[in-house]
Amino acid sequence: MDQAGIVRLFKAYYARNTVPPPSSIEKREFAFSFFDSQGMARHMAFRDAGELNKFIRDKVPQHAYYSTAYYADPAASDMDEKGWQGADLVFDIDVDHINTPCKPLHDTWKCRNCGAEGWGFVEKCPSCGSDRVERQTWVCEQCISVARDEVLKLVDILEEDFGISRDEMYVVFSGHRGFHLHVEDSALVDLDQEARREIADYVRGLGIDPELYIARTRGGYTYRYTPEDPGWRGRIAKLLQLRPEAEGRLSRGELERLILECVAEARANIDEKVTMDVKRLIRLPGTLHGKTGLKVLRMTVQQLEALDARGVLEKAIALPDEPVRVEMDKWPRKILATSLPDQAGERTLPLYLAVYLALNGKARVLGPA
Amino acid sequence: MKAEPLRVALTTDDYARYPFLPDALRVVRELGLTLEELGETPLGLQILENARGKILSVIENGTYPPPGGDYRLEVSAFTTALLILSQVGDRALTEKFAVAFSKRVFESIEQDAVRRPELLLYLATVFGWSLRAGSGGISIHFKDYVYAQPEFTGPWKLVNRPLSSGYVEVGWRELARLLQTGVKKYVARLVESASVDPSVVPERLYAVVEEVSQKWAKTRSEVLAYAQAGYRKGDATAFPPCTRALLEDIKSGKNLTHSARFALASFLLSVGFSVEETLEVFKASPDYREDLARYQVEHIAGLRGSRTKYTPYKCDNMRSLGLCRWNCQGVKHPLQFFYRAVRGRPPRVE
Repeated sequence: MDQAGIVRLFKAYYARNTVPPPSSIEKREFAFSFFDSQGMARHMAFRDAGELNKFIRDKVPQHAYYSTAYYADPAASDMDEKGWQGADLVFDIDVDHINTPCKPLHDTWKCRNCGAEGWGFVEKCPSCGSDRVERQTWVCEQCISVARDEVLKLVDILEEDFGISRDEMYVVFSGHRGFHLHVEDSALVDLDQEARREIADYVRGLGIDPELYIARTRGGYTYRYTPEDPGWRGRIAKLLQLRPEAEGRLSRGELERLILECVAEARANIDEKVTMDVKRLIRLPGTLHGKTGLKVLRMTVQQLEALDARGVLEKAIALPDEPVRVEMDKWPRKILATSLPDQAGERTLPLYLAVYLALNGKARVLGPA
Repeated sequence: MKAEPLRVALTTDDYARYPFLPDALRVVRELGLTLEELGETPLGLQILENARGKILSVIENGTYPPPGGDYRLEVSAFTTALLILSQVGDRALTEKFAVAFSKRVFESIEQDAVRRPELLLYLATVFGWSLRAGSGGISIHFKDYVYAQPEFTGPWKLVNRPLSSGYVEVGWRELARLLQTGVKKYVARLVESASVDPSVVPERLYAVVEEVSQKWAKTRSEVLAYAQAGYRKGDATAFPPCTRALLEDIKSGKNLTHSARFALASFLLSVGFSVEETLEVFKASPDYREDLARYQVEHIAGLRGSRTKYTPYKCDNMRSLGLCRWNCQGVKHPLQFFYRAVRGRPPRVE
């Protein structure tokens, strides 16, 4: 199957499904990219769901985004003329930034400087040290499971500490490597960048000064707070209780190290840039992700809690599952919920998986099995 | 606490110390003084002269004079100063004025934190903050806390605070400090909303606007010229370590990330480098492309696009972006380091 075949599949999906509009649709900027052209069409606006869906059905975008910000004139091409009125508080959890244990099973890298290559995740080429590394990344059930845990940690912090109600949050599976958590609370829309950074730092546990958490006692140091204390004080105390080595009096260095380990465990691994950005374009739920063919899936916090990673992926599968023959040079050993035993050349897979391999990698779909 | 209006007995002495309070402003409004009279009547001239003195004191030595005995004069002169600042329309001057004023007001807030804490709660409601009184003390909504947070490290950092159900516990002294920032931002907002059509500004008042503008521009340009000369002589010690590191990276032929380029270009432009001089620095970059770089630098300089002149990232943002691994004592913004160094008091770097 060539690109035209994939476009036909996207078109059929949009013909059958309606994309639900984001809240206050008339104040949002929309942006799209298309299969047959480079770059992004930005600064678009729609009055209602009907207009938005008509556009999507006609143009069949590869990627669809909307602004987390609300604007007086979202279609203005100059950012200053848009008239910023506020923005949702958004968190991005992306497994690309988290070194999950499954990466050696599906991700590969190739150095554009010296040509070295291998499995797994590297920041720089281990052989020549160059950062011109080309990565091929795939997502499996385990990645999604790690990301899901991060979302649940985040929800816990937002509920407990920030007092944000679940009714004002929703989760979006991005259709690729992670989740977005949106908070639509009218009292928080006007937070500036500085305030959002402080919130992002809070959920990441960034800036915790262990010295403020310990007290000097006879013969060593102890943790100052109890699990009942609010905020990070109590959160760290709860985790310290699970560590036998934290009992009794410790040296300052040991206790500080233990505290920071607890912080690392409890922190939500978000991409702070997204939270800080008050004019972000973000994937539109209900559309298809143009690099995977999976659906950008909106759900409540309760729905995410009830689903495991496999459940999320199954719900995100939007394209048909009829068997097709696929050919690829370098197969990942695991993608989505499917394990692929070592084998070169051709194999038979469900269509949605073949599309993912073709969109994200260099797989060739040969035809029906 | 939110629902019930706070009852605080305000005296005329309070009006003089807190001239931005709605009650104080109302009392002065009742005097019925018009804009035209500011430049004409003896009382109007006295007010104008007092307002001028307040602003010049801020420009020349960074302090807002202590309140005088006549609360009517004090409040009128304060509002007239806001009007003058709004006509000058320089954000940095407004900021400087707001900072100096809030420092002066802080002295009163500190006293009242001990004598009659209800006045602090009243101030908070004037700023629209949401507070809760509990058994352990006072709690403030996190949104208002981060809005007024004086520092973004150590004990003030939100992550190190007891935060529960959206409220941050604070002590009375801490609340006083938060209110100081509240005053600063409130006054800056008052300046923004004080704008009137320049054509109705009386001549006498406009003369003060011009005088203030000139004094301010002169103070600024002297500092900038000094720094530029220093840099040209190869003496970059007035630059903070983050900026020096970026300069060294670029000199050694490294490609900088987008945010690093932004940080460096906006810094250089802010300390008075021209677009050409800034481009000269970037020429060492291996992926330098004249057209692209010029476009970006002109954009940051405010010559293109949104016409906003960008200032460099704050230190906290530099840290978040991985561009800073230092700790410059008492510095929250790279430009702050620079201005102190220029005045011969470079901050200590850890």
